[in-house]
Amino acid sequence: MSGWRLSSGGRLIDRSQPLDFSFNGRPLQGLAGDTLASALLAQGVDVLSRSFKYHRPRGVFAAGWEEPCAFVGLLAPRSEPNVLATTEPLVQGLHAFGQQGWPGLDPMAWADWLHRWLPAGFYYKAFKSPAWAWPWFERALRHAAGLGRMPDRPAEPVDHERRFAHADVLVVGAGLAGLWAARALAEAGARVILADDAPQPGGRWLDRPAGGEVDDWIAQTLQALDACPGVQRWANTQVVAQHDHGLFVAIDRSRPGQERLWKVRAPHMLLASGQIERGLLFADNDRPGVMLAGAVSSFVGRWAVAPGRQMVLATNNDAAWTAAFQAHDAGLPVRVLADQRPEVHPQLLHQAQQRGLRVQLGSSVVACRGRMRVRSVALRDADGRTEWHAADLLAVSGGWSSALALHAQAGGASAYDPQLHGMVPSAGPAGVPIGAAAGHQDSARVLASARQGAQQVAQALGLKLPPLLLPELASQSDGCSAIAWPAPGQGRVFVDLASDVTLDDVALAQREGYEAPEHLKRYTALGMGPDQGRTSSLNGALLMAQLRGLPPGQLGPTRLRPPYTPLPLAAVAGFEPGELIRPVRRTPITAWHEAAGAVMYESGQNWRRPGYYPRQGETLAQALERECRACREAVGLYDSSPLGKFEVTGPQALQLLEHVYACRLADLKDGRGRYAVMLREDGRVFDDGTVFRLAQDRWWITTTSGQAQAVHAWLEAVLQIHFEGRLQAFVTPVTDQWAALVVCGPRARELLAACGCSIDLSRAAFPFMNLRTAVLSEQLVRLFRVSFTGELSYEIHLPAGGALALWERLVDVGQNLGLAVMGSEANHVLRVEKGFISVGHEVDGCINPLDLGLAWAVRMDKPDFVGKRSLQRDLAQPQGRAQLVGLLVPEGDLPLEEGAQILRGEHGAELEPARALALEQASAGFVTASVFSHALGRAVALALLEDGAARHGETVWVTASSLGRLARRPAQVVAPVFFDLDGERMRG
Amino acid sequence: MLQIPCPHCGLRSEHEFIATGEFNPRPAQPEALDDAAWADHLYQRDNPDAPVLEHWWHLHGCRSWLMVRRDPHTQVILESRAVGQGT
Repeated sequence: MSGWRLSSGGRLIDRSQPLDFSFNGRPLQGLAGDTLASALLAQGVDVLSRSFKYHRPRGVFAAGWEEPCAFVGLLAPRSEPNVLATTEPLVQGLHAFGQQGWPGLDPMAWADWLHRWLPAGFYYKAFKSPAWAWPWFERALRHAAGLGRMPDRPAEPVDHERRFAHADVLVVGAGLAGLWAARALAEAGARVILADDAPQPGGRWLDRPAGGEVDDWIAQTLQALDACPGVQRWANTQVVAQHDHGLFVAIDRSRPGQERLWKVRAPHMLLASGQIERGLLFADNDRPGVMLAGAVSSFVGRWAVAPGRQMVLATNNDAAWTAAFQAHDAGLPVRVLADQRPEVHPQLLHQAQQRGLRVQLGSSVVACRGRMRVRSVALRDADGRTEWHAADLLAVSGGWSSALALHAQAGGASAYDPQLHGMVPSAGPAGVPIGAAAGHQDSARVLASARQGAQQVAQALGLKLPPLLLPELASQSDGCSAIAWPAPGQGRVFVDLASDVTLDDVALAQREGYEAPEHLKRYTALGMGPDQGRTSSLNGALLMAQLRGLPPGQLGPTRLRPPYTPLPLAAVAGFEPGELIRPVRRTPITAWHEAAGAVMYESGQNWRRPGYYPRQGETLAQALERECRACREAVGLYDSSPLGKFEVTGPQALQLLEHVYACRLADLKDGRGRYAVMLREDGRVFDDGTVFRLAQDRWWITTTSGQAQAVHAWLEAVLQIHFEGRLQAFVTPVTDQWAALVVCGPRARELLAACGCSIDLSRAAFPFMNLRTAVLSEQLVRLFRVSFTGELSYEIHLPAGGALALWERLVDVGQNLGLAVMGSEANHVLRVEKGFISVGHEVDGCINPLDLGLAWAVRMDKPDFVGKRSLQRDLAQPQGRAQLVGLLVPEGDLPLEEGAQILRGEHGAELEPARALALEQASAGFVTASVFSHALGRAVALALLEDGAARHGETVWVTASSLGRLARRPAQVVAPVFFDLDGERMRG
Repeated sequence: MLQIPCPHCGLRSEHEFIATGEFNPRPAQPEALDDAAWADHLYQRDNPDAPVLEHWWHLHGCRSWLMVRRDPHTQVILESRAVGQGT
């Protein structure tokens, strides 16, 4: 029962609003404006949690985001593990519990008793034998490891807001320097965003008693700031990440559980984030009651909480003396003020003397006693004598260092400042540090650096700063000395409280060769805790330098990465997007497909297309048979609207097309078209489709629906890069503007005629691979005689708006003709029967058109086209490549599996598992498509087989997975076409 | 997230673009190259540790192909121009 609430003071609390909360089931009271930690300290709670590895009792070490240990589990107002008590605002009805076992009696406390066998990295060395025991060890270790306990239920989803902001300059931190610079720049006309993670601006000055010249100046500055247009002032908002090109991420925690994420673009940033304090190294320096001196100031000044009843201050720098003065003035007795330096600034001695404080110079703290709370502190004086002092609060300060995480995230350089004994960032593209963040502690220097930084930014923006005066504030001394390093082996000296890394661990890492700070971090876990090593990683680097005999600062701290503090994933996700997380593209007919009960598949680029239309009680196989038979025997109808479509126009459009397609197009007349393949420069098939000549200088090309964007990019690249924009040719993507409905089957003509078609549809008047404009069912359409199914087929193109009406008409009239609506499954069967290739199956990006049997679509006598040079090489070396073949299994057998491998001449029925591993070397090809053909009454397949064109008639072995074991089946290699070999049906 | 200065549209977020890599102009006479030289053009890139010219396509904007020179260390964009329109 050490901490207590002071009767006056406390800038952030409202004494008229008491709040009830509980910790570990114990009902407690706090005040509005408290954090959970300040309220717990005020109620005399000493131990908040147990440490990560050794389960030692821990209290509160710091007052804000640099706190390494005080992580608690929240039950109310929300269920969340690993909540930082020093930053979580207290609310009415808050329930929290200590993590890592009971703060009182912890069954895992044996980890501390056995610490000699559990140094850093023990899991790399121990538990290797006996090998059979490892699963037991692993279970035990996993149970012991980790931080926090998952809630029983997932949290209710809450929408989190995501906002965007633009500014000329982002000022990070609203302390003295940030406020001055923000005002100066705002009055100069810049758009300024000033962000600070505290509820009120003021920075370090929030620790001091309210009232006084600084508070007046702050109030004045805020007034001036708020009067400027173009200023945004954010409280409770922490800038957590700096990315490239001035992109910052900030998180507004005004309402925990409903955080707001900001993405800010600001070409300039002033880093006014202040400094972070670190502790001293001595035996048992992790006990509850050992606290940073600055944290004592914060608890006294912000929340009117005295964290103990008898304080000892141990330090090596001037700034920490303020904590002792402030504590004394607030009524918290300070027994000894120990500074390890033999001499300090006379002003400090005077102030101490005024208050009647006992000062011991040349004194260091060497140990403290007390398991659940500090009871006494050992100080060793300049003569080497050690004296024990009774105290329950040991305020320590080992030095300060710039809070430069944002700067470091963007790769900004920093250097060790021998005056500050801490890291200081250098100005550069990663931001301009000002104030304490630039290494200054004296107010005059802080403000001078703020002016310098603001001037730099104003110049870059082409603005002129107003003649603002720097306020005359009382100066503070800012001396510091290096930390005294105890020798290894003198008790449990903690360097990193979050990960339980001791001085002995650092020495161990150095002995074992993990000497670089990045290795030290990964070997010992120093700096890996949720605090990102804020109070520990610099001490670790300095200690390692000392152990290695290097000058301090030669080893910098490790790389920092965003975010600075933990972000709830829900805040990153923003509003619950629902289906919008992956918007689906729809054709004019999609709603009709869904209403007709189609099973919808994802297809191509975000399309959702019908796979098949099962009637009442039909299986996939039954629906498939019905749809395929209808197409081959009567008439089928399907929606091909996602087909990629482009108009290519201009006097030199033909030149563009001749360049990108492998076939000849110059001889096409108006209204005629050709199947064409588009190659890449390496001769591999990129896409296939059709090219039609609408008129001179006006061409119509179609592509695979999934490649529409890729083809667009390619055509534009050829026009702009290869032809350097000189070609008079223009490409217009019209995929979404034109719907495409396909009517196919022996009765296709009848169907179109029955709907009212204005042109002669006979074979003589409208042959295969021709295009006609017509009025069909009172709509103006383009009819293309192209066939993907191998039947008589008309692709009807019309503006999307009219498509549904035409579709419904076709379905209606088609009822009398035996029409069935077909999905992609039926299409797949029909095209495999015909041996038509499909991008994504046979065209896998690694095959040239010759090996696909499309030599007739390649004109090597063209002077040049994309892929020609590579095809020349392929022609010169015809052996050893996969070629398209058909595969037949004995009649009555099930189809082969798509993706099954074709083996090189193995024998036997079963493959042993060991041999299965060598499958890659044993494979001579694979099955690309395999279906049951209703037209033929047997299973057929297409495959890519090495040198397959010369192997027709051979029997090959194809893998088959059966009952989880790999088996193989024989199949006969045949030509890749099974139905209507001479194509009479589609030409009909 | 980078911002790419498009000469037509101004400074735009990289989300509007597709990056396709190092500038690799097609040789004027492919048939004049032997197989090794052609393979070199197809598959090899210089990839120096220095700012290089690369291609970005402004898909969700003006659909221009841009030649961009970017410093891989600092991400500073040193130049950005539309292809085929000089500097």
